Amino acid sequence: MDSPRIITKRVNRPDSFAKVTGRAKFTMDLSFPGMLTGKILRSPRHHARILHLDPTPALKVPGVKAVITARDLPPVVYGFGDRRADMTVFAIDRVRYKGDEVAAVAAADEDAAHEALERIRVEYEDLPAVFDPEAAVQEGAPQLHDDSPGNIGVRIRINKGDMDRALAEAYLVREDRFDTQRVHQSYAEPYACVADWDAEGKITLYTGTMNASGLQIMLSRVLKVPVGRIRVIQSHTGGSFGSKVVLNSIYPASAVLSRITGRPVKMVYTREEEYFASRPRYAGRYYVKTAVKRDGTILGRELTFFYDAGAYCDMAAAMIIVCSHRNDSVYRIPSIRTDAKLVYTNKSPVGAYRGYGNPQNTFAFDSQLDMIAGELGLDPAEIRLRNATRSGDTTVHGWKITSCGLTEAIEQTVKASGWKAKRGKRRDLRRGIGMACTIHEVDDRHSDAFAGSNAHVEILPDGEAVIYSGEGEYGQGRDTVFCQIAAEVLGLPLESVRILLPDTDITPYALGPWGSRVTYSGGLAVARAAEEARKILLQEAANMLEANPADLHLREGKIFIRGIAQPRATVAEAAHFALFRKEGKRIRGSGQDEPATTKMDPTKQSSPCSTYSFACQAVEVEVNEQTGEVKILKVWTANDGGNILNPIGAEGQIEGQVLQGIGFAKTEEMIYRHGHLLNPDFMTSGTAGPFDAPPLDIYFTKTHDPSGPFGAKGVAEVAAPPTAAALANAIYDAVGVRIKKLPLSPENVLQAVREQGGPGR
Amino acid sequence: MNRSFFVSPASVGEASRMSQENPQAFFMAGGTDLLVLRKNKLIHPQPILYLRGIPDLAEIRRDANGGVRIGACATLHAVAKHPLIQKGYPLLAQAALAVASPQIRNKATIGGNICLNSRCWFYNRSPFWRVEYSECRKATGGTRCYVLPQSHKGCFALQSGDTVGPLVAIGAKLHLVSSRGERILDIEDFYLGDGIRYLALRSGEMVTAVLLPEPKGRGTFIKFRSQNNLDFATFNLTLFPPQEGGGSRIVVSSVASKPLRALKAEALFDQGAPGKEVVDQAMKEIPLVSFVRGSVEFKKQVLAARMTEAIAAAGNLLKE
Repeated sequence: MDSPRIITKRVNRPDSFAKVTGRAKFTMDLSFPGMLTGKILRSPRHHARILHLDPTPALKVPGVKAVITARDLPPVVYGFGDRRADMTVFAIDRVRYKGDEVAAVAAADEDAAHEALERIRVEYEDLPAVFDPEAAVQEGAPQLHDDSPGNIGVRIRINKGDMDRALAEAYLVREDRFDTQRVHQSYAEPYACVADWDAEGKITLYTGTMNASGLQIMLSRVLKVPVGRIRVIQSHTGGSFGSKVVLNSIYPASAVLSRITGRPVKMVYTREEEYFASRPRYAGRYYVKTAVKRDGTILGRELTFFYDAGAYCDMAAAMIIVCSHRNDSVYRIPSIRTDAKLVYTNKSPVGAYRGYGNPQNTFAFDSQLDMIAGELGLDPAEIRLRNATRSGDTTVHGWKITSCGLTEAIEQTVKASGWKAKRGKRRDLRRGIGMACTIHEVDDRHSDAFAGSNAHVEILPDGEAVIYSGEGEYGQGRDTVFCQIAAEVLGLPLESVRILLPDTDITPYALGPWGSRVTYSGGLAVARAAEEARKILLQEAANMLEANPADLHLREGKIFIRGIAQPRATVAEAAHFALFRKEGKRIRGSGQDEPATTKMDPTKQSSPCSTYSFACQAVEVEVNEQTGEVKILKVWTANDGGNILNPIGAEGQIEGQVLQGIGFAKTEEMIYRHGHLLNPDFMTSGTAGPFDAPPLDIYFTKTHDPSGPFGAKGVAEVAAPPTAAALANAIYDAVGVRIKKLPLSPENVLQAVREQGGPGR
Repeated sequence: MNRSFFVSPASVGEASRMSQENPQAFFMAGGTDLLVLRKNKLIHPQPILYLRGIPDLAEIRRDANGGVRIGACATLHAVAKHPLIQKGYPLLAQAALAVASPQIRNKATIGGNICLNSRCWFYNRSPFWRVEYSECRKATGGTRCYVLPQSHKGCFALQSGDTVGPLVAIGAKLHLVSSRGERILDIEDFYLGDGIRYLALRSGEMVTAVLLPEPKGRGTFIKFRSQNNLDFATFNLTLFPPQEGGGSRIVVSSVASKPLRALKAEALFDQGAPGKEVVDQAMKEIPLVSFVRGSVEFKKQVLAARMTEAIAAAGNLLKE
C-alpha cells in the first residue's frame, strides 16, 4: 500500500462543528407535534411488597393523558440479551431498590407529570433489606429473588493449572483484601428518549444509545412486537462510557404511553435519577492470594471475588464473565483459582463503565504486586517486566497473544518518568512514584452466533461517499475513524466521506460497543465495504474510459491511469456514469467482519478475543501527611493500541481515561448509608473535572496488529484501569502507607496514616 | 401547580416594597442558588423579585473613604477580575474565584454569596431524596436534626459563601436598604448563628452594597475541599498576620451557621506568641461538626495543619 494519506494523520472529528456550535441535535432537543412528557414513578423503599397500587387518581390532574403500570405491558421477565432474566419493566409485586420503577405517566408538561406521580397511590409493606454483598450471601439474609438462594445471581468458578502446588512451592504467598466503590460514569447527557408508536403499529425510538441493533431486539422481546416493527434511531449522544447499552425502562415505558395516547412521548432522566436508577460501576470486594518464587516470578493466584450487583443482574451477568478472569492474562500466571460471585443487594443495578471491571481488578492485583515486590526487595518495574505477557504467548486461559506492546510500554514508562532516580528515593520529600499495568480485550465473543459488524459504503453521483454502519458514535470517535478508513481505501478527501448515525431501518446490524471493538471489527467491515465499492467504481471507470481496471488508481477524488500524471476523470464522473447509464448500477459495497474467535468461557480454554491491548502507567505524587491531600504531579501513560489510526482521537481517549481513572482513584464515591444514597449529584459525588487534570505524558507503542484494520487495535479502555493502582503504589512510595480501599481521598489517606504509624515515617 | 410570578422592579424602593407586601417573595440576582432551592421545593417564591434590572447595583468603585464600594449585584467574576479588588483585596478576588465554576461565577453575585441560604447535606436535596429524612427542621419544620441527632432544637446548616471569610477578615460593612430607610451593618453582625434564621435582614430589606475599608496588608485564604474542584468548602480559612502588634485576623468560615473568628487566638497572634500556641488556642475556639464527608477529627486535623502552614507563611510575608 502507498504510505497512508489519511489514516494515522491528525484530523478533526466530522461532527465537531455541529457540536461546538450547538447545532447537533441530542435527544432532548427533539420535538414533535403533540409530543407529551413522560415521567417514571420510583419506589422510595429499599425492599418492599406492593400491597396496593392505584394509578387512576393521576388521570384527574389536568394535562395528564395516560398512566401505566406493569399491568399495561406483557408479563415478560428479561435480562440483558440472553443473560439471566430477573427484571420486569415495572415492578409487579415487589420493589427491590430505592428507585425501582413502579409506574409511568404521560402529560402535557413536566409540572403536570410531577403532580400526577404524586397522586398515584401505592401501599408498600417493607421487607428487610441487605446492602452488603458478604452479608447478602450469609444464611438468613433477606432474599431478593426466589430463584437465587444466598442472593447469588451468577457464580463462576475457575480452576486452571495447579494452584495447590503453586501455594506449596511458593517462596512467598501474600493474602490481601481490596475494596472498590461505586462510581457513576458521569456522562454529560442523561438517559433520554422519544418514542412514537404510530397508527400502523410501528415503534420509532429516538435515543442516545450505543447499541441500536441490540436495543431493537431487546425492545422487541420485552414488548412482544416483531423486530421489523421497531426502528431505533441513535441521536447525537452526550457520552455514555458503557452505560447506554442496556434496555432502560424508559424505552418500553414511553413506547407504551405513546401507544395509549396516540402521541409521541419524551422521557428525560434528571441528574438525580442517573444516580438512583441508571447503571453505575459495581463495587468490588477482592480477596487475593498470590504465590511467587524468590525472584518474583508469579506461580499462581487465587481470588475470591464479590461483585455487588444491586437488585437485578442486567448487564452484570455478562460482565462478570469477563472481569472474573480477564486480568489473569496481563502477566504470565500458570495457575488460577477463582470463585467469583455476583451478589444481589437492595441497591440500584450496575452496568458497564469504561474498563468493564478492569479498573477495580487492576487496583487489587497491581497493588498487591507492589506489596510482593516490596517483600522480595524487587523494583516494581522489574517484577512487572519479569512476568509480563509477550507476543506469541498463550495465556493460562488459552488466550493467544498475537501482538503485545507491554514490555515496550513498561520500559518506556520507566524511561520517560525518570523512574530509577525517583522510586524509593524521595520519602523525605513525601514524594513518590508508582506504576501499574493492564490488559484489555479487543472484540470479545460471547455467543456462538454472529458476533461481528456489517457495513455498506456507497459512492454517490457527486463523488461523495456515505458509510452505513450499525456501530454507534457516542463521542469515542467512530465517525472519524470510519471516515478515515473509507477515505483511505477510496482515495477520497476526508471531507468527501460522511457517515450516518445508526438507524435500524437503514444501517446494518452490528454487535455493539463491547471490548473496545468498534475500530477493530467495525473498521474491518468498513474497510471491506469500501474495498468492494472501490472495485465496482474502478470497473465502471474502466468501462467509461475504455481502460483496464488494473491500470487505474484513485487519489484525492480523481482517477488516474498508470503511467499518466494527469487524472483522466473524477470519481464523480465515474459514479455518475455508473448510475445513469443504461442498466445503471449503484456503487455500493458491503463488508462484514465475523471474528474468528471462540465463545468466552472462563472455566474452559478459549480464544475469545480478536486481539488484546496493553498499557503501563506511572503516577507521581506529593503527599501531605497532615491533611491527607495527595497532589498528582504527573502521569505517564504508555499504551498499546496497535497502529493508531486517529492520533487526536486516541490522545483524547487517553486524556479522558486518565481523568476518569483519577476520579475513581481519588475523588469519586457514591456514598450509601443504610442503603440510602447520600450524594446523587456531580458536585458531592466528586466527579473529576478539568481542574483536576494533571500534567500527562502520552505514548503509543510501536505495535502493529497482524489482523486489525491497518494494524489497529483499540485504546478506549486500556488507560483507565491502571491509575488507581499506580496512585496507591505512589502513595506507598511517598509515605510508606498502603491503602487497600478506594477512594484515596484526604480523609481515607489520613486514616491510613494514623493507623499505620503516623506522620514522619 | 408550581408556578412563580417573575417581576423586575425598577428601583430598590420598589423591590423593597414588593418584598414587604409579599411575605413569600424572594430576591433574585444570579439565581444560581434560588432556582435550585425552588426546584427542590425547599422554597416557594411568590413572586420572584429580579434585581438585575435595577440600575447601578453592580458597580464597583472607589468610595470617599479610600475604600471600595461593590454593588451587591456585581458578579463574582466581575469582582475577581476588577483591578481595584485584585490590587487592594487579593484574598477577596481569590475567594470569588474559588466559587464553583466559571459558568456559575458569571451569573452568581457577591450579594447572593453573602446572603447564600445556609446549606446542609440533608437540606439541599430533592423531595425524592428527602423522603428518608423527612423530619428535618429546616426543610419541613420537623422535629429532628440529622447532623446532630441528639439536639432538641436548633439548626446547624452552614453559612457557605466563600467570599464571607475574607470579607469578615477585611472588616467589610454592608449597606442595607428598605423602603423605610437604610443602615450600615458590620458584616459580622449580619449572621445570626442559626441555620434557619441565619441573616439579620428585616422585612423588605436588601443588601445593596458591600463596603470595603482601606486595604490592609497581605494575608492568606484557603478553601479546603476534599473532593473535586466544584464543591463547597469543607472549611475556609482567612488569615491576616498582625501589623505593628495588632489587627490580626483568624476567620474560619463554612463550618458553622455563621463565620467564626478565633478572638483569643488573634490576641495571642497580635502579641507575637509562637504559631503552635496560636493554633491550639484557635482550635479551642472553633467548634466543628461532623458531616457526611468530613468527620470532626478529620476537619480538626486538616484545619490545624493548614492554619499552622498559613501562620508560618505569613511570618515569611512579613519579612519580605
